[in-house]
Amino acid sequence: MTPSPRDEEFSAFVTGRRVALLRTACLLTAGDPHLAEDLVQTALARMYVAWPKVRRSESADAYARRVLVNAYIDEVRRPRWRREQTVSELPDLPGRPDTGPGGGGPDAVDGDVIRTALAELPKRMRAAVVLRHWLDLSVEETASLLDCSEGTVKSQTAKGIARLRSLLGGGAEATSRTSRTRTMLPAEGS
Amino acid sequence: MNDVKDMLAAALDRGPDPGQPVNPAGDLARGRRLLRRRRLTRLAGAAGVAGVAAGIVAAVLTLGPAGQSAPHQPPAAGQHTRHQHAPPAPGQHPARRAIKLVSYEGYQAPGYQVSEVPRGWVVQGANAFALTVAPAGDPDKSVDSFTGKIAVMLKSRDEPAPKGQPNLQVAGRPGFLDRQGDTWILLYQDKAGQWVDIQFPAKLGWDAPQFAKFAAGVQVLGNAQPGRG
Repeated sequence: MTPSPRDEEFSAFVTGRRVALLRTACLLTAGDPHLAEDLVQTALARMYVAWPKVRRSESADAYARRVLVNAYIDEVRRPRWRREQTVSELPDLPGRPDTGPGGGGPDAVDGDVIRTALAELPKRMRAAVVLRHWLDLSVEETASLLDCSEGTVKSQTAKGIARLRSLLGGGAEATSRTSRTRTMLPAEGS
Repeated sequence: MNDVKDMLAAALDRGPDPGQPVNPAGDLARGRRLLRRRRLTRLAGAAGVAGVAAGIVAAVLTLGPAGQSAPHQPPAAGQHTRHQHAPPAPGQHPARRAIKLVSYEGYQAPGYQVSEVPRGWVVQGANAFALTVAPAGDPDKSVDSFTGKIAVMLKSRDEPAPKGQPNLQVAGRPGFLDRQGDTWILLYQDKAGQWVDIQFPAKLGWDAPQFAKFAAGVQVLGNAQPGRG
């Protein structure tokens, strides 16, 4: 059977962009690969249905980001699906050989520690940090995606980075427990 | 160097690997299934099995297999392709008799107010996501079925606000009118600032001012919700 233009275009988009979407979803979910995969599948299925609208949009990538973020916000609103639990202290985590003393450079931090720190952030705060600093979206674009004001984006991003700084660098407990060196994170807007 | 970005990149140390191969077959199959379900939902009204079967045939004939309805290429980055069909000018369809808009004082569905309807049409009903206006006596009573009806809804949350030059004014506010197959789609900003999406069957035979006039008489109230996709 000859594939339709929609199928061809959609397949090409998935081939080229799926991994990037999945990596973003992994950050939004603080490293939950199963939830990230669910979000990407949901987002891509919605995109297929809306493909005529995707064609009319200015950017398929921007459309995909919006659908993914909406799927994420929908997901975290469901209490029964909340797979992340907020804890008052970072758990002890095994170290990795390449990030111990003498390995990985002075600012190296284990991925597990970072994922745990990301999981500490409220969902929308985490999304603001990821959208601004991973996807390099502007404050305006981020506000549009999160359906909030630009001021909220700025404050949420700043608070998110400060919280990460506290968890990863400023928190003596975390660094001593995990034998990590400090990671300096810039303030929002720097 | 963005240190936050470096930190986020480190959080992806367990993957997925940017270079990993992708097979789109699974996503394609899921997309097709969702599209099929959406079409069936819209087609499945109170008309019964025979009506549903006829509707499916009609949809397939109208839309073709998934995606064959619009065989053009996706836009390049930054390219804006809205309004591939210019709105019909007044009197553009001399061979087709337009159904006249008349004042409406009948049943109003919760969440919406409609002041004018095509002659002989009525407000069918509404749910949280859409209102349908259909010919009186239409056997398809389902408000989830839009075939041959006017459907009013808020713009999908997944669709970004339209950009570019509006090609229509609805009560002095920007509107974007576009044709997809046998459906005209009007997207406009109402006086409350929300984007409203109205789908019209082309069989109405209307021109741009008539679409705008109908839209100007529609109010979407606070309890309506935007859909997805």
